[in-house]
Amino acid sequence: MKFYLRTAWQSLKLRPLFALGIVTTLSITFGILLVMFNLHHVLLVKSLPYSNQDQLYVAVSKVYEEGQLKHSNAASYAAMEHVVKNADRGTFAIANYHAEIATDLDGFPMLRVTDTVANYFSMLGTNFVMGSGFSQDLELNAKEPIAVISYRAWQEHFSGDKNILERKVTINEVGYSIIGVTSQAFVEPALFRVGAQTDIWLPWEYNTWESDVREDWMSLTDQIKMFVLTEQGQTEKEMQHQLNSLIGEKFKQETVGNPIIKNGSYKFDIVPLKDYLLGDSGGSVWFFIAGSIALAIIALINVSNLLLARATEQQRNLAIKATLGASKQTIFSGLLAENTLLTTVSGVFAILFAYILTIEIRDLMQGMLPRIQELSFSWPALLFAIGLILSIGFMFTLLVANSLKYNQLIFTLKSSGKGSGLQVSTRMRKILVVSQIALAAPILVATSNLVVESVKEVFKEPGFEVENRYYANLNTVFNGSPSAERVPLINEIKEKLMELPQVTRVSNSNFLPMMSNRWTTSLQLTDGSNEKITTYTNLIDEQYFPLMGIDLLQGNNFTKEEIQTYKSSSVLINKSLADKITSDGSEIVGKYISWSSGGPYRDFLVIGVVEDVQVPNTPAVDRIYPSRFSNFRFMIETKPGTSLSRQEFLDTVQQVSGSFYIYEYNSVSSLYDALTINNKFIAGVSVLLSLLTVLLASIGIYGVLSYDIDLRRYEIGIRMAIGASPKKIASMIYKENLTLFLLGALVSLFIIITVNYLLEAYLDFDFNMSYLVSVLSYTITLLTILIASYVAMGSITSRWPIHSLK
Amino acid sequence: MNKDTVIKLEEISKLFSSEDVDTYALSSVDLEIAKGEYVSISGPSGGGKSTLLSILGLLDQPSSGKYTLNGKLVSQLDKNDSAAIRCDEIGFIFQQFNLIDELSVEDNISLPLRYSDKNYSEKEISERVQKCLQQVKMEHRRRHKPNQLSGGQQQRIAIARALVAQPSILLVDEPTGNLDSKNGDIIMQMLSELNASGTTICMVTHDPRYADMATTQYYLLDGRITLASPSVKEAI
Repeated sequence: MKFYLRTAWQSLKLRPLFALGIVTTLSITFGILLVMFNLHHVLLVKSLPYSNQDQLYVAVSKVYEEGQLKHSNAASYAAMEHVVKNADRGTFAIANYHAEIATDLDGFPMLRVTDTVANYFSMLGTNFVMGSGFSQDLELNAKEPIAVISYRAWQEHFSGDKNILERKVTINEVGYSIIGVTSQAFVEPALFRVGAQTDIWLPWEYNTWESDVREDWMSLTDQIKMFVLTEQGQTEKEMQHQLNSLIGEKFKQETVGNPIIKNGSYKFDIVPLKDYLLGDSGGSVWFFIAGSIALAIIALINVSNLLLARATEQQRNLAIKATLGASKQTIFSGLLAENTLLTTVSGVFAILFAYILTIEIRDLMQGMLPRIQELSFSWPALLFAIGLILSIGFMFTLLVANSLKYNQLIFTLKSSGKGSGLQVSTRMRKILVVSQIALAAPILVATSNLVVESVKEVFKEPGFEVENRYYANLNTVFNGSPSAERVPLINEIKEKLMELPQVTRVSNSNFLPMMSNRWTTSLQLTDGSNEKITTYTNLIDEQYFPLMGIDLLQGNNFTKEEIQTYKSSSVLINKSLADKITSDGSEIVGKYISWSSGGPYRDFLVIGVVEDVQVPNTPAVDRIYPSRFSNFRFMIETKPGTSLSRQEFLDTVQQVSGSFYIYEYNSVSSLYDALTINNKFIAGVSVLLSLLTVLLASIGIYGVLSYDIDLRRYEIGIRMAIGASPKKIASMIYKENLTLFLLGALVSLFIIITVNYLLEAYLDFDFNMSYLVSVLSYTITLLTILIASYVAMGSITSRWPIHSLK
Repeated sequence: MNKDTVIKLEEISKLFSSEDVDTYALSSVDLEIAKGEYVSISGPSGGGKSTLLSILGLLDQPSSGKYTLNGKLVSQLDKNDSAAIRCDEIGFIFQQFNLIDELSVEDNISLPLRYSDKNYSEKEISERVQKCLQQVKMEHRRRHKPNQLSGGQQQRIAIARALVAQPSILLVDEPTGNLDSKNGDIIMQMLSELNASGTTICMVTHDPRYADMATTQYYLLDGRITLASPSVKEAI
């Protein structure tokens, strides 16, 4: 074998481009395939890092009205507490996720906070670097202000202080004694948001929900989650039954007469923790895996073509070896040595590439895919890589060896190379071209459609201004003061901000236009139908629409005086809601609608209609804009080319009172960009896949066509000798290859339709395909074929026929 | 130039250059072939016979000199114009027969007509193919593929293909090189009959027996052509 490897190495050194082509193609595509295998392993196969992971479930709340699902995964505080206090089988942990400012730490950092119970740590088998978690006796009614911090928070905010257990951290004016630091290896289940990692855990009783929220069974939030640990032998169904028995009747009793819900019911779905964490990311992983497998197949076809072409080139040498007495086995061993050498080198580069890519993806995809922090280059991936490399090397050798007819190799020498020593049949060559097209076209169609869809979202006109706008949410003791005390402070802050030279407008309103789902209320039609409409609600002042650049379509905006009185009974609504209310096309401005923000319905006069705003990945929703907001949230517009820094803003508001802290401060453009990060990621991956597909398919199609034409060089020479002009040869080649394209396109269409059907039927995934983009993808494939044909035949038709006949 | 002259070469040279050395395959060759003439060109291997035939058949361009075919200067034509002339005015017969394996006998024969710019109708193509098949006595094999035929039969099909466009000259390259003597004799007999019926032929051959069947015999050595005098013949 050593001899074969040495001769294979020497032979490959003479063909550096051939070797480079194969190593590059295989290492890139198999590197990507390995990463996808790894990703698949972490997300879909690997156990959660909790010893009792098979018994861990998430109780997902669902609220129904008249038997129809109204809210999913939005929990009622009261319902959650009721279950935790009364369930007797299994262990429960509730967690409330939010962010708060630590006012005694340098720079007033915002910390991700989880209010939870002692079970949280024991259920997850949490290890601690120092101290411990909350003890059982503290449970729900713990009154002691204690805290557990994460290893990361310990390093980032406390500089890894060894005396951390003697320190306190102040949040919302409460000083919490730190009693534990979680170990570096502890992986928190990200129940609230993908990638969101807690900095500090506080006792459940210290959560900041107001008493009305705690007691109102229809006050729903997505910030509270509950996970459960079943007892040994307790099934999912038993747990679900227990919870639903506990909550069913109780919820009905508590919501009778609640204006927000009629004949409501509350149920829990018990979802395995692993499935819950995966969410709908499984589809993305399968898409990436399918894409990378298809790429790998294209790469394999390309390499097969290159190897067959190389075998054609080598046939004389092989014939000499056969004539000298080399057995079939000996020739096979020589080929195996060369292919093993090539695939092994490719494999080493693929593993290196995959290793680097894994680290990059882990950093880049934080917050986009669940459990991504667990991604590492694992032993299963390495074993998979080695198995793949060895089998592919062997497979290539079999392919080439099967193409060689040993008995005819000797004849090759007799026929001065003009015969067909390497018998790669026309049929096989056609199959290679057709399979290239059949695989490349669906990937191109899928990735180009994804690129277009994602780019559409990224560049969608929002219908409001995002540049030179800022959003600030202040944390202050005044939040608990009566409105009458807050309004003068708000007015003073607005005046101070307006004194800044770069500031042109300031609005005191509740939400930015893209924060569409934070507060939902209900309105009742007064047309006699009493039909209720759920609307997204935003409390605003007179500056909101001009500042955000939202067009007023009918009627008027609020006046400054109206806002200052704090007693307005007027509202503005968006076009979508106006169309719904006045489906007959009648004028809505000047009419009354009945609106409730939780209490009884009151009549409000519609004074204006504004344009809908477009939020990425969100359909247009019905919106109602009542007036006067008296919390400390501000939107600021600055002159073009200027900005307002967080510090400058803080300094300004602290001129009004030193007890204002920034809870949230962002440019509107950065918040808007964050909404499209997923689209950008998908667009990026799709562009990469498209480019790789085009590149690999082009190399492959060119390879197989040039190989095909090269094998036909003599035949083309004969045709030219008996009168075929270069144009006629070109026309013949184009016609033949177009037929192959049509055949490949037909097969690819079949693949697309089948995959689309399977996705829709089994994964409920509706792939939004644009005909124009799909046609464009096929056009790219066709152009690739035409260009490849032109280049490949150019070496023959550009020369005199005698060169092909030699 | 005589109006009956089909081919006239004047000072034709062909230079092959490699990195180290320049070699003249043909050196100032003058040759004239009249209509109805049967010319043979003999000479040792490497003497320039195949190069000369390539230039005569417009498969290659001379490095210098003038080549006139049927009164038209063709030595500087581009590849497309050369192809048109090859199609309509030149018939090729090769040593390796050079039939296209994938095509049937009649499709092989019809190729020059299909490549021609004269837009032959299917009917005309069919009639001409039929006539040529009769001429070479192969009508019964019209639907066969070349690999189903013997060497002699393949060469007869190659002759039919060379004749189908009614060219003004047949260029023949070692027509018996891949045949046994019996089949070789049949092919040579066929060429003599074609010449007798008016077809102009220029044949390259090693075999002095077949060279003698030509009306004019040339000898090519080191790229230079001479009429084969009895002394030269003896030397051959």
